[in-house]
Order: sequence, then structure tokens, then C-alpha cells
Amino acid sequence: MKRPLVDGGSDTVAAGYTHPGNNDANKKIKPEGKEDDLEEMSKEAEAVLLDENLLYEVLRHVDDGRTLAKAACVSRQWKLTAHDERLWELICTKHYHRSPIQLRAVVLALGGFRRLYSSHLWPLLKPTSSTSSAPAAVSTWPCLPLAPAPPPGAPRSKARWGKDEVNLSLSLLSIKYFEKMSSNRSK
Amino acid sequence: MAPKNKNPNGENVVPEVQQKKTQALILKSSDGEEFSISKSAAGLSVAIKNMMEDDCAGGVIPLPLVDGGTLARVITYLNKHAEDGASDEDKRKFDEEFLSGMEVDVLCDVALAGNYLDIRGLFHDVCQRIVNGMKNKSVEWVRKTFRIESDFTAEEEEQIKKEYAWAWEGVDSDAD
Repeated sequence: MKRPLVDGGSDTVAAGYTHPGNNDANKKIKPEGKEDDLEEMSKEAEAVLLDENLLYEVLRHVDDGRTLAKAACVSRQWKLTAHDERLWELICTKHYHRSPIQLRAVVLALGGFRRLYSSHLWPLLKPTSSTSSAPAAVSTWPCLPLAPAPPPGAPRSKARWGKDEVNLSLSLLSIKYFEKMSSNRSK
Repeated sequence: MAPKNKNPNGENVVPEVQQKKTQALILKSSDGEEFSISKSAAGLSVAIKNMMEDDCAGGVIPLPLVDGGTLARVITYLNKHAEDGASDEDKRKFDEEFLSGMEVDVLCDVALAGNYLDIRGLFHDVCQRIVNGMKNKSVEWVRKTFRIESDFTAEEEEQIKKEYAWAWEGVDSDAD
């Protein structure tokens, strides 16, 4: 099973991605009948999930940003793999039956899905009971009166979210982007 | 599906292997173990199916990337999923039990085999299982479980943890 390029996406758009460490992304996980297979097998005994493509496939099954973020902190190889924009896109768009192509183009132009998730989507989603949530939310978007803040006393269970949150985050991301652009220009 | 009436290679099959169905073939693992499997079960692996169609096998298909222990597990899975009477519910239950007993390195071996043999359902389930195990676990836990040495420098480690500081908010620290 080869790594599919992008689910339901077109190749032209996919080409806009940055693929960290993607030189051999399309090779099969293991080529058939090579001399060094045995050597590879014995390496597996020492460490598992060393294979970059297998790791990518495994991480494709992650459905929350937090787990993916922690995966990025494991080692250099894991970081390269976990920083693949396609994985963050899967998480950000898991509520869409089909990720809209325009969304991908816009998000990639404005900084990518990983940034969208970590700086805008996550503050909307994180557990409410954490007392440290307020300052972080403020710093994300100081002018907003914390409108999207979940109601106090909400159960600490996983925040439910959907397309609205993604759209809101996208607005925030684009506002940030243009804000930055104009401040750069004024310098 | 496998071509049903290709040369019946019953004579070539290792004699001590029990043959339940006439349509059987032998899978040979990297360490030389041989397993008999019905063609219908083997055909659930796209890779084996292709090899059968190419008829490169002559009854014995060598799988140099899959060791005997892993192959035995994979064959158990294939047999269950090729069982005539098994309902989807049966299979789901079987999958659940089948995977729940596996350690993480066994899971990874099965994932590799499932990928190599192109058994989509198995591969997907195993990946999901691995990921579920990582949820709410610390980075240290992941390193230990997957036996990965961090090759970050101290600065890099600090940098990346800072970048993902948000991911730790409210995480229950886990001993193991």
C-alpha cells in the first residue's frame, strides 16, 4: 500500500505543500526481495516505527492535534514526519466529508494547517477547566472579548467542535496574516 | 479473485501440510517457515493476489520481509476474514481480541506486514491501535515504548517543547 498523495485532492494543489523529508516519500515501505532485508528486520527489533513511511501512515490515524504535537517532540525523524502539513490538514478538516480544495489553498498561503491548529483552533478547543487558559486566549486575539470562550462550568470533557470553529480559526489566521503584512509594509 | 481453475498444484505442496480445501498455497516466511492457506484467504492480501495472478509462485510464495511469528498472526487474521459463515459482527469482535493482546513491537511488525502484503483493513486497524495507545501519554512514554532515543540537542529539545507548550496544558502526567 503506497502512501496516497493526498486524500481526494488534486496533484497540482498537493504540490504546494512543503514536505519535510519527502525525498523518498513515494518509495514503498519495503522494496521486495532486497539483499539488506534481513538487516532491516533486525534493526526493527531494536526500535520500532523507524520507517518513515510507516510512521507517516500511523500518524495519519491521529485525530487530535495534541497527540500529533507530542509526536513531533519525540525525535528528529518524528518531528519531520509529524510536521507534514497533510497530517495537520486531516485533523483540521476531519469534520468535512471532503476537504474543500479552496480551503487548502487559502490555509497554505496563510501559513499552513499546523499554524492554524496550534495558534487558533486549539485555543478554541482546549479543556475549559484549565486556569491558564485565559491568558493564552487573550494573547491569541487581544481585541476580541473572548467571545468563543466556552461557558464556565462546562464539563471538562473533550471540546466538541466542527466546521464553525475551523472557519473562525481561518478568519483569525487571515486577519493575523494581513495584520503582519501591513505592519511589515509600514516599516 | 484468484483464477479458480489454474493448474491444481496439489502435488507440489509439501505433503505434511494439511489441506482443507483443494485450492491451497504455501506462504514461506523470511525464516523459512511454511504455512498453508486457502487461496480465498490469501486473496484478501492484494499483494499475494497479484502474485497468484502472475502465477510466479508455483504453489509456494516466498515472503522475505515477514517473519514466521508475524506471518502466523496475519494468516490467523486472513482465515477469519475469509470464513464463509463469519458475520461482520463476528469479524469485528475477532479483530478486537486479535489486536488487544499485542505488544507495541508486535503491532508494528504486523503493521509492516499488513502494509507489505497490502491488507488494508488489518493495516488500518493496527495503525489505529498504535495511535490510540499514544493518546494522553507523555513524550517520554512514547520514546520508551517505541525504543527511540531522542537525537535532539538540548536546545532543540527546549525549542520544540516550547513550540508545543500548548499540547501539555491540562495533560495528566502519566507515570507510564
